Amino acid sequence: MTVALRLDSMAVNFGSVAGLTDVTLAVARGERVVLLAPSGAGKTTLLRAIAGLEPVVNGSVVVGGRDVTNDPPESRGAVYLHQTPMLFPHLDVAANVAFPMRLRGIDRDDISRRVSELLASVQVSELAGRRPGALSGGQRHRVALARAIAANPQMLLLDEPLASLDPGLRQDVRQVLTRTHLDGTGMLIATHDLDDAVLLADRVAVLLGGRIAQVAPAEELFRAPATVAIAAFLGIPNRITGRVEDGAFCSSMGRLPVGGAVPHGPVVAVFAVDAVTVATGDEQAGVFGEVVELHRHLRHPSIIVQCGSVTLEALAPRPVPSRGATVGLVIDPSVIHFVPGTDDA
Amino acid sequence: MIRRGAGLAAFLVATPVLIGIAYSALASVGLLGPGSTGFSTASWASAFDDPQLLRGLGWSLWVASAATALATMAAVVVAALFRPGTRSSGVARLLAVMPLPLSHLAAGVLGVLVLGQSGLLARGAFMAGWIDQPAAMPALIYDQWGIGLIVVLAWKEFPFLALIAFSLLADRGRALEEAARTLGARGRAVFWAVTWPVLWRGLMPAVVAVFAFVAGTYEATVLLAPSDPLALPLLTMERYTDVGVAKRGEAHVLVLIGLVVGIGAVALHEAARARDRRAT
Repeated sequence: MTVALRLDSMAVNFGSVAGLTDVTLAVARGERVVLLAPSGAGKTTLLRAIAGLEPVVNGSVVVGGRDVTNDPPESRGAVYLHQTPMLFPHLDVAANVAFPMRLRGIDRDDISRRVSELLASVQVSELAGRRPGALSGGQRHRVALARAIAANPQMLLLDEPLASLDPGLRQDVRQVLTRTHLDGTGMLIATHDLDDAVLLADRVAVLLGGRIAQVAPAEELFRAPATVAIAAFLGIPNRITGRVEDGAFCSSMGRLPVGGAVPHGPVVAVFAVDAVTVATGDEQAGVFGEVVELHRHLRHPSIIVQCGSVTLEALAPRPVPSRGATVGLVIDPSVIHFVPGTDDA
Repeated sequence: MIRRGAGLAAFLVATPVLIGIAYSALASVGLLGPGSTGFSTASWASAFDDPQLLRGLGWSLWVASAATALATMAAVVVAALFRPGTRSSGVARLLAVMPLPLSHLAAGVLGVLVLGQSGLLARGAFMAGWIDQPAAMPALIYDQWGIGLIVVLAWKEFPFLALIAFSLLADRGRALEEAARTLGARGRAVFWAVTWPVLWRGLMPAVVAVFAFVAGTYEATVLLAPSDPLALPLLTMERYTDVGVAKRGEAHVLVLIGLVVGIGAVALHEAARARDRRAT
């Protein structure tokens, strides 16, 4: 893997207090890594520190194979895109995109040609003569991305690029980001939105507790979160504390046979909503409980079932059972992920 | 409802000004005020026949332009040097706001005490051995170029512009500068590509206000300006307090001319803004 960015045990303070304590991460050239973390976890601080806009108190930042830990922002080869696109208001779109090339003293004709290519690549060619004030939010994001690419960086650092956009514009900008593939450039995209992470990422890096808690492709991350805290952050609702003994998971719900390489001893069984279904006439329910709540999600309505001391969330069957009804649940053991330890999330 | 409220507010703000303008306009043609003799354009003819008018107007425009430019430059330099958000910017802001509560009259007196030929600057230069005696100090007040007045007015108006410049850079300006830096721009390129345009565009309304105010300011001018040419505000006051009440009509003509200067500055600014908007 040719590395565009490598962070080794990087530490960055939040003002005067310790913030990011031990961040280790690598992004390959051409790879899109999503930095997924809850609000306030330090996503922006991390991106700004990589760009040289915040001081690194420990560890190192390597961009394109060069240690840039102590270099100023202008010579790091890492372009930082603010959450709200920071286009220069006094320059038109073409001049904004040309800006980094002018700094490098590129020939005027070459700049003009490259600007046209870049604007075409983000589908805003017709806006070349407009000022930023006359652009929509989505158009500004596109132009900012074109300008960032014009700087020919080793790394693009995008800070919550979709956070302030309405659903229509989100889709618009998502498409631009997923279509933008740069062979020589790595992309690190900060977001707190799980959908954005799944849609945009080649790999997802979860930032929790001041460090990178897990790096994995999105599918793997949701299937097998490394810790209960990650599972909780990812919104995986079913987390059952118990023990694995003699090929079975033992909890207050009873014994559930499990196969494969499963850690023995105290574990937390983690599984998604779609691993739990309400038993129909043909199926034998493994556990029974009372429906205590209905979740009216737009796409996947679910029910909350109280099974003794354990609360499970299951896909809602049709028709949706009423509150207070007793239902039998079937849990698919093949999609249960066991995390060693106890639920301290 | 909001529109009606805004209209009422605008009317309330504008009414005293409009009454003043109407009074001066009527008084300048002999229809109002002491010494009014019925409609006559004699005051207008007399004011424009007097060579003091053009000389005073020109001198006042020079002082206003120079003081405004100096104050603007100082505000830009201080805001750019003492970056918002740093400890040094806090000190700079504190120093910048110090002249704010000072009245223009007090600033004028301070100008006399510091810049006069027997003032602190002259005595300091004498003690340092740069001049043979304090009186050998080049005249900085009552001088033909209005150097002392320009310096005092610039010093008095600079904090107002500096505070606006600080806030412009602290907010959006800082983020734009960061964007420019990660795109590869170094210090000087950042200043000319981002800092200056942000400040220039943001400060311009305040700069116009300062210019219009300085062009018509009286207190510091009466203490520091020469008697020839007589600055427009001083000429206006002289005509108004003339023993012959007939001169009051001329004073009102001069008031209206001062008003035209202020409105002209605002009109130029609005035209520039409209041109900028059309470019988008």
